[in-house]
Amino acid sequence: MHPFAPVHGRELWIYIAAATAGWIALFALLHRLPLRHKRALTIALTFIAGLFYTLEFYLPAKSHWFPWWKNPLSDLIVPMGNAMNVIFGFTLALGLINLAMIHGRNIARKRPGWFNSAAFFAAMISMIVFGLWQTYTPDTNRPAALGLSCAQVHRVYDVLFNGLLQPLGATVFSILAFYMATAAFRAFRIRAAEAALMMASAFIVMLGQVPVGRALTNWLPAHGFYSQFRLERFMGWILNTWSMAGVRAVGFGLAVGGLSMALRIWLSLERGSFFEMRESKP
Amino acid sequence: MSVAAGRSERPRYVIYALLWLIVIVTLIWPIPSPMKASPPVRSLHNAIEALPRNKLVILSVSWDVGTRGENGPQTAALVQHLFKSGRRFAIFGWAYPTGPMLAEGIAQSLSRKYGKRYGTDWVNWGFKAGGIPTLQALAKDIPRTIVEDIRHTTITDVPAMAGVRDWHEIGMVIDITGSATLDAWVAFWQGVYGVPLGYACTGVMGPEAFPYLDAGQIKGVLNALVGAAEYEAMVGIGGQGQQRMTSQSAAHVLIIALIILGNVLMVRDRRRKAGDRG
Amino acid sequence: MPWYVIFVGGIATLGTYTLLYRENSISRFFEHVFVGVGAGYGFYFYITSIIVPNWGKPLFVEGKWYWIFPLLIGGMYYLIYSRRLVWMARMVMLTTMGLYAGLAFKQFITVYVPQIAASFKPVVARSFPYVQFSNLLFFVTIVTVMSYFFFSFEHRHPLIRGSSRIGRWMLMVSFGAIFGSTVMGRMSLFIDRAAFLLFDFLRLSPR
Repeated sequence: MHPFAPVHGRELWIYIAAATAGWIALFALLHRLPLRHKRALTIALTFIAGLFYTLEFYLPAKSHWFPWWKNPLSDLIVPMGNAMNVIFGFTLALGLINLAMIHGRNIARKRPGWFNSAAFFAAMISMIVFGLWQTYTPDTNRPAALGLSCAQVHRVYDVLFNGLLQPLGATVFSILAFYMATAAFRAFRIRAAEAALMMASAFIVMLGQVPVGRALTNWLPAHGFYSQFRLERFMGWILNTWSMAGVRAVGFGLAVGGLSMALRIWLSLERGSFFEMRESKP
Repeated sequence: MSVAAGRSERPRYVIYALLWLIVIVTLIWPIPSPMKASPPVRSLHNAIEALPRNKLVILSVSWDVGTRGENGPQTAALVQHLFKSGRRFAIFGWAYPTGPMLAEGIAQSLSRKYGKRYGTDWVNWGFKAGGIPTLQALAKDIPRTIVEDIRHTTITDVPAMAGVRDWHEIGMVIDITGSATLDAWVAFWQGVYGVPLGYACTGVMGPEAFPYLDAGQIKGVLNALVGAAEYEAMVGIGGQGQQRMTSQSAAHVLIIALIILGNVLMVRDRRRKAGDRG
Repeated sequence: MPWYVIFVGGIATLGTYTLLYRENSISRFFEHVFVGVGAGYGFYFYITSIIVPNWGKPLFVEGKWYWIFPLLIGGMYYLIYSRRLVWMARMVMLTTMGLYAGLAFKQFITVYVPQIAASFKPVVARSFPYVQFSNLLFFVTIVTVMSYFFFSFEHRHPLIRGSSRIGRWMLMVSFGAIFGSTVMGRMSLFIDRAAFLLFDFLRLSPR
């Protein structure tokens, strides 16, 4: 039988247990290696992992001179994508553990405002419980558990998602509008000609996007040379030509920087305690 | 708060109160103003109209509750256009887990208005993590990557997904986003397979979309709430975009007035100081 | 939306807006609730959207036993909390970073090569003077802005210095456009909240 053929029942659990035991045994062995060997292993794995997508891109899909050739890595794209999807899914609790540790400490030590941390836990646990519950129960009046019907479970979830998560998230980000307004009054000072150019560009874009700005210049002809000076057309020209060139140039710089950073990570040239895997002090 | 501290905070409260007042007044008493679609919006609209009807459109909803004010009306306008033109679409999220649920709410309420049915006229693929490797896998094998829709139906059992295997059956991907997700679609879908891309972004991302538009990598752009309003005008529907344009105009005028006022006061203070010294 | 959902949403919105007056216990409470529901939502949604269909089904229903390995690999991320075993977590993280770094080459070529090609616009051509002027301005802007970001050598030569200075001016136009767009974006977010409070919470209607 093919080793990767599907198995069921007791056989499945045996395979899972064996794979887990083998994995733990392997890493128990690797743990005994000195630090420099662990570093070398990490560098090797990082390089091999980076080779996958690099070679998949650079190796040709087909070859004119070798008709039998087919890029072997292309068939692995789907399993790799699915595997990364699941691996990242399993890291979901990393952030939660950090949050739980911080807020748990607040409650345990009864720090000022510890009831806010209690509210955090109550909100998180309610969302997890009712989220999972409503996913796997139909929206009917059938009884669910704890004296609630399925429909009531859906209603509680509705309150949590549409009544709390959505409004709170949208409101927190909308507060930026007020900070922007006070910054416009207090901080945006036109002290140099360059700042004046920046503000002029900003005013044109702000006015050109909205009806009131468009109304300011709608007396200009709709066609012909002078139509280019209508605020919305002029704004469009700035965004499509002048500003676009600057943004593209910045983008090129960022792209080259990103590429060099990727190369440094792939070849393990990056420095720092995380990358060099220094032992942490006890 | 001390008296002195309170006095220094007064301009801030006046500005906040002004912003509240003008937005409330202009929301309750809007001035209807017809919006004419700009070329990037018209381009996107025409690209969708030119799509073959047997192809599926992917709405990549990479936005979160924080950008609901911009991406929500954009999603609604695009969904209405797709419903009106009878094109099937799939909602898919890969950046934020909330995106597919938020879009689901919008699409559900609009499907009732247009008499469309979930599963036949549209489907929600839900959220997948993993980032770019997931997008690459999606291009090559959609059923194996998605597995189930958001309602936990096996994806191959959904009527709207009949015959949809990979990128060949996708007519267009429209990335509705509040973050930098366009690069990934351009790199691994449009650049590799030539799948047409549309883009609906927040105001912050707007100017960064134009290099892609210029290079022909995206067919069109909806920039912030204004983009949604122009698109609604093109499609011939009313929506939140057009309803809120008066408030948007008033807010912009307020910001410009505050910048000018702040600079006028700065010049006045400078002259006073120079006069005191002289 | 049901009335009780709108009511809770309105109270939460107004409670958070008390932050505009000053930092207070009400806004702090709602911030903690927001973080809690957000974290809880992410957790349950990952389980129902990814863990169950993409891992649980292949492993336990279809019997593909090798799907245990993503759990083992993903579980190694949690060893970051152990001082002795943190090297395993770092190894897994660096391997993942290496995997993603390999995507950078394809991304650079498919995204930026078309843009580099599109940057070669005809400056002298049989077209409208307005188009020629736009193309010339585009060329000057992109070259001078790129020269502004040359940090590999000192800007000693007058040509480089001048070009860099012009590039800074050209960048101001881009920054102004970005600022204008940002203002538009931020205001839209507040307008959305105000519309919710007026039309959904207070049940007013536009005149």
